Amino acid sequence: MGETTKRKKTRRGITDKQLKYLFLMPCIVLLVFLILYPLIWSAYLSFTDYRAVQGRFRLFPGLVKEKPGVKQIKPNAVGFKNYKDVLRDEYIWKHYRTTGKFVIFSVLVQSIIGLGLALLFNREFKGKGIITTLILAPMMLSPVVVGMFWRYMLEPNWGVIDYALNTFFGLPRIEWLAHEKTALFGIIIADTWMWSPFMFLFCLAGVSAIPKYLYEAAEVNKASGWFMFSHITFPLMWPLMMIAMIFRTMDAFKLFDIGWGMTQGGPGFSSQTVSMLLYRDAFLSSKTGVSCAFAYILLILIVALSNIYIKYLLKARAR
Amino acid sequence: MYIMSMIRLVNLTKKFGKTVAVKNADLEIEKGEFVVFLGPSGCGKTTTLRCIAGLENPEEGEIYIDNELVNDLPTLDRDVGFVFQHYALFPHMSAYQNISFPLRAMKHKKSDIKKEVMKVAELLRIDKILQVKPSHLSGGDLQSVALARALVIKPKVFLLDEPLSTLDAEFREEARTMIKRIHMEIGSTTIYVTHDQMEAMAIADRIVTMDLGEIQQAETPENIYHNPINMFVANFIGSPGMNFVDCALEGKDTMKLGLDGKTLKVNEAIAKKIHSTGKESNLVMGVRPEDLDLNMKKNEYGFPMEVMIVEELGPENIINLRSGDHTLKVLTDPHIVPKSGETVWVVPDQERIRIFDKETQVEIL
Amino acid sequence: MKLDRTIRRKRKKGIKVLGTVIIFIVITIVFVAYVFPIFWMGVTSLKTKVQIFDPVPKIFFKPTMNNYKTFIGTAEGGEVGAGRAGAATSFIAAMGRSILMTTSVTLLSLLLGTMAAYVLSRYRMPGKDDLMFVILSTRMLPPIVVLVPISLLFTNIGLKDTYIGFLLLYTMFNMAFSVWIMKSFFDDVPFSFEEAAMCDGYTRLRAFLKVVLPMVKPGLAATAIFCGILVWNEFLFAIVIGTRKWVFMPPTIFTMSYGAEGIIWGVLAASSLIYIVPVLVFVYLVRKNLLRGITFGVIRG
Repeated sequence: MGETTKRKKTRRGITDKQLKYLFLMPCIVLLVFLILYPLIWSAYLSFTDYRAVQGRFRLFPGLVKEKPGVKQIKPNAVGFKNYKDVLRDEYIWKHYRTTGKFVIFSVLVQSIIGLGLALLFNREFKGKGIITTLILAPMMLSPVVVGMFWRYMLEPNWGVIDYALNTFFGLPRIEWLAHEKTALFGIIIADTWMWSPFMFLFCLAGVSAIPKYLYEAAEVNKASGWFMFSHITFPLMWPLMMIAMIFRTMDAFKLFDIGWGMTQGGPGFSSQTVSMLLYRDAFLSSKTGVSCAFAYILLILIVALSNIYIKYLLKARAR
Repeated sequence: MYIMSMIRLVNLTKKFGKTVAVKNADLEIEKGEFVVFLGPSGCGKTTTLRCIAGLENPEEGEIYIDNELVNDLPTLDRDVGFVFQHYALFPHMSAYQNISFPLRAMKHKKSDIKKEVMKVAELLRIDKILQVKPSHLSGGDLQSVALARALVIKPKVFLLDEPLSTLDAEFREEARTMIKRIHMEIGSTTIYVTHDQMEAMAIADRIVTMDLGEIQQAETPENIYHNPINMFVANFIGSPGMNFVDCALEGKDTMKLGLDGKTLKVNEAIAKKIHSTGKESNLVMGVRPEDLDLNMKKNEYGFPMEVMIVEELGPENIINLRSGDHTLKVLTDPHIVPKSGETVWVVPDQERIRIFDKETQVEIL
Repeated sequence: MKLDRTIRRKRKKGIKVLGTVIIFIVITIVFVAYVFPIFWMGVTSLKTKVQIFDPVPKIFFKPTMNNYKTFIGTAEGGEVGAGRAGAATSFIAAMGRSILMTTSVTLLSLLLGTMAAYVLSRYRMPGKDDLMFVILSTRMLPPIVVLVPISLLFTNIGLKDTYIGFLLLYTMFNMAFSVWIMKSFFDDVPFSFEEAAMCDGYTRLRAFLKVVLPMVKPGLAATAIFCGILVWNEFLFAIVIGTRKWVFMPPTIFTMSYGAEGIIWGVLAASSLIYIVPVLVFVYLVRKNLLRGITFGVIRG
């Protein structure tokens, strides 16, 4: 590896050990300060009925100077009440279902499109480089903006999507974002436009890594069409595709920006994800203590899921 | 007219952009023959093989397999088994799955598949490692699996692209014998591509020598060895290679050699033959190292050269000789060990002298 | 079987040409599908309000620069949203802040991430795998989960709505990616390079700076791209932590596009388009590294 056992100290340089600490410290400090500490504090708050509008409080009074005129309070402990409320709240569970629906649909659709595109692009043609780069453009935009603009495009009266569907395909103008049943799909469409290139990239990397001579060997050995795809192409590109799907799933679960830009969870709360609800509760309604509990439950869920994902990742890598 | 050949190439030409890889190849291969395509890198042997398999499409010419024109027939419909140079085994499948692949692709019954795979596996002695994936197999086993996969469909034609090149030297002899043995047991028609002339000599029924896309000579190893049709073939076959000396016929029976004006007396038959072609100068004489004798005393039917290095190989010696800028190699019995710097007389076996036009044909037998 | 063969034989000839044409058409459709919305955004940005609400969307029309003028702040009678309550803000100012923050965070993340990645790549230490796991898991957190306590923390410490606050926060969230990618690249550089350098008298530090670092330039580029884009487009933290002074572009676009009767599409389109341009340019400049970075960094992770 990299560690020298001799603590060689040159005249002007720093030792190995010093370098190690010097380089690693900032990262760890940041970690502790911005992740660990807030998480601990948040845990504490989750057992109180604190609401940020009530006033401030110091976790370590005396550590930082207190501003005059700012109300100081001590929050009340309420035990597991917040957790119980969150876990029993059907409203919140509905949001988990909505989020789950979104994740499943969007990841599936994006994976299929990504795979299809990769197969399509797995050949040489003029302008391949430019076109491939340009297809990455959707991923580079601000998701809020994407959400907002797709709202414009999906508008039944002046949006270009419905116009095209109507004029070219004779379909009725669908009010995507006005109906509870279809609002989520509006978000799925925008999200797919934005992120299917991501799946495409990974699938393309997977497919193009397959050496040509394997295809020749398969051809010579009586394989064609579907058999070739299911026995050669797909199994060899699957590891990468799976990694991409895992990434997309984790990201899709966190959905906030696109949805907020497009519908802010509406109509009603039919297109509201867990993140959006949490945002509302914590920052728009200032239900701070409860939100902390809510956030923690979400955190535990994510950690559990991530562990499963990491196990899959490691298995895939071992192959 | 009933044509007997299994494989027939008629005026086959294959280009890659501007480069002509195979030029006007004509060849007939009989059923059950073991033919070796031999030549240096880039001579077109692999390309020709791939055309027969259908992995390349020729620009001109026709390919017949078992009297059927196969030019438009896609690879998977041609009844060929192909072994790639680096085996091209499917890395994500076990040996069994690799071998059974063509049968599964053709949708054979599972029980039949198992039977056929086991048969081939036993033939190649890999029946014990069928569950292993390629990444865990040794070079020899990999080759056997590749062979098995090609043979499991019992193809009419068996094509191998430099199958031994990735093996360690010690396994090559064993492997090539095994391939020949299998060929004979199955009775297939086999084309074997290699650049190793010793390999070719050892196992071929016929050798097809190629250079720069053109077929040079397609005959039995003996013929090719003793009656090479041109200097390329003469040079390529045999180790150590044939010796070449510029020469010209002078008078009735003397050859002037390009070795600083030395002369050599030749017998009548040779002189007459050269005379009859009308070309008496700008010739090249070719003699194999084992067809040269060394004499201590002056000999008119020989010419003098200086001994440089003596390589004692055990069963034989290679004597390296020099005259001015020219060198010559002679293969002798192990007890002939001249001293370095000595002058000896090199006497060629007149029956074995070949004469070439400076770059084309043989003349004398 | 025999019948299949004859069919395949006949098809082999003609199908090649037809197949190529179909593929060409499909690729074109795909390309249009992905590029069209951006193109449409550009078109929309040049339209007047009336044209925008036309039930028949037009590609050819008489363009106007009004929306762009609004962006700069010089529109006559141009409509624009109120912006965040109590915050006097303009597009240009927000853009400037975004540029500043993005560059600062990218540089800092590169610096800290590379340093940490180097140590994680080269040194043995107890708990290294756990540390890696913790760093990587920060990426899996929904930002909102951390945001609640951090928002409180910042308020209490006085970091809310400050340059430093955002700098630290964004850098923290970029660390996972930064460390991950850079570590992969460092792992690929054999330690023998540093050994050779140190044999020549270099200190560890100098060996790192002069020998190893230049070899991982693609990694630095890929990391810079990802960190940059992440910060540039970030919305949630921006609206929660940036309440009055530090209002970045995405929240600005969001709030200032809401007029009295709904969203002012023209302004949205114009401001969004201007905001995308630097990203597209940047991506174009480093496009060769981009593909490598994305897939490579993740494969090796």
